[in-house]
Amino acid sequence: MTSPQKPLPDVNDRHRAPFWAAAREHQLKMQKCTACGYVRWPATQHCPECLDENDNWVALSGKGKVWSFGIYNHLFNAAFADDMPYDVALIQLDEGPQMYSNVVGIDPDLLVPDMRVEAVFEDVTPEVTLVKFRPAS
Amino acid sequence: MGAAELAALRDKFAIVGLGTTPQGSFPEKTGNELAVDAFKLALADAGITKDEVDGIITCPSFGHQGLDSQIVPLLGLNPSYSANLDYGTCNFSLHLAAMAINAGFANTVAIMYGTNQKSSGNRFNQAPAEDPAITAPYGLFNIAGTASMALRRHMHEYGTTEEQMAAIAVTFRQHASLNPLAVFKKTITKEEYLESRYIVKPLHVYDMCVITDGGSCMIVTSADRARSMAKPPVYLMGMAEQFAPRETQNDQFLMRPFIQKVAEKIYPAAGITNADIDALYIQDPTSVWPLQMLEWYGFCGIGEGGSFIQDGRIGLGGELPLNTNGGQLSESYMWGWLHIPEAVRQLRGEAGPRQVPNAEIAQYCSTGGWTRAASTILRR
Repeated sequence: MTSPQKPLPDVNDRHRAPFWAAAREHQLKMQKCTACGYVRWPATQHCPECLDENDNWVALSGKGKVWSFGIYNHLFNAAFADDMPYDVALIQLDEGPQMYSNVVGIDPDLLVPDMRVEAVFEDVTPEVTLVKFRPAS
Repeated sequence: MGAAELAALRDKFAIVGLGTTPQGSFPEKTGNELAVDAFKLALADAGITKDEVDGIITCPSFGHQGLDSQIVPLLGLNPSYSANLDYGTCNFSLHLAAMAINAGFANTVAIMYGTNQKSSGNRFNQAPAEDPAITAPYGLFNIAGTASMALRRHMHEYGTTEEQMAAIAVTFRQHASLNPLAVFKKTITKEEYLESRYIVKPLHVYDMCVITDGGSCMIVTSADRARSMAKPPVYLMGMAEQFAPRETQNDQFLMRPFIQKVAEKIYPAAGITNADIDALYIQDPTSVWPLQMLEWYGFCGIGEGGSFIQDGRIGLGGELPLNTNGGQLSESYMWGWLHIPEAVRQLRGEAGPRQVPNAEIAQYCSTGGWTRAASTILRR
């Protein structure tokens, strides 16, 4: 029996492809508006701050903190069976944006909000690399 | 728009008919058919025929159901005004009905919701308010994920405890034990709550509503017309809404501070303060919603929700009876479509063993996803 596949992001998404391409290179990049400097995630055509359409994908420090997290004790998707219990965290990046991810390399019960974390890169398929986080060294 | 404009709408509309079907599992019916059942019950309650309804507002339900283009043909009507509100969760639909009447598009509007999502197998295995393309790869599923983060943050900032949170599920279950419509009537203790399994820690199984099938309908008309109908009118004393999707870029967005904007508008709109509320209703797909909204509507200070809900304060006989129907946690999920019917029953004095004595004013507070909020204040 083959175990079910975890959901994967569309690395060719019209707006998000540069994010996944950077992740493939083990870099965290996000869109920065060239008009007002606002850094945003998820990626969009227009800057939600000033509605300008010009942007650069800039490398971020990968550093931030855990805003909060939950620990999954109920299996909603069979592909995650081997991970139970696992955490999903909302990460507050130092450059401003927030993103949902996992904090790895720690027992989820030892996580606390405001814990400092740094990005790590998990190559999950030959095409897809997920951006995850670990406690800051 | 501000409170002054909203205040001009005070008491101009009334709920005159209620229809709530049995709640549970009804695999023999579609969601749309359950909405029709609720409509029939609401007509009987109002003492009118279907031809006296000239406006219909429907609400989407699981399985691509709930569109007015699907339901109105089943009702056999040619309404002057018809709409489908995709975030209809009751407060929003009720307000749209009032707007339609106020603008002259219809005289008497039925708002309705029917769902068979339990028997048709909705697993709620996505985080619907989030973007699954970038959250599902990390295992973020179900509203329990984000709700657990909001609760964890509340615990971190304010010292709220699981022991305190037990009061919500335990109290609502006590209320449901007095409600014939409720799916869960067996009371639970604080100890049973604390020993129950986690869904997404720190949320216990009793902090989450359970999927049900059922239908709900309300008939709304102008105050003048309402006075000639079978049941005493329950007036829409105040209405307010806020949409705040920009908040997703705010680091506190899961706490939903924008809900305060609704509170700032609704009490002046109704011409009262929250001290005048005799019975309070808060949408509760998870117990985190009451915790947050008690604070944002000013029933207690920010961060004080955990201690506020203790010692019977939110129970029947307490200072602020909350979700006297049992709420979504214990009565039935129904996307929040059963709180206003319960509020109307309380204001009519029809709530039987769970009647709040002399209830004159009630309020329902709800949200749509993480970025939309609405509230209605009702009076008899």
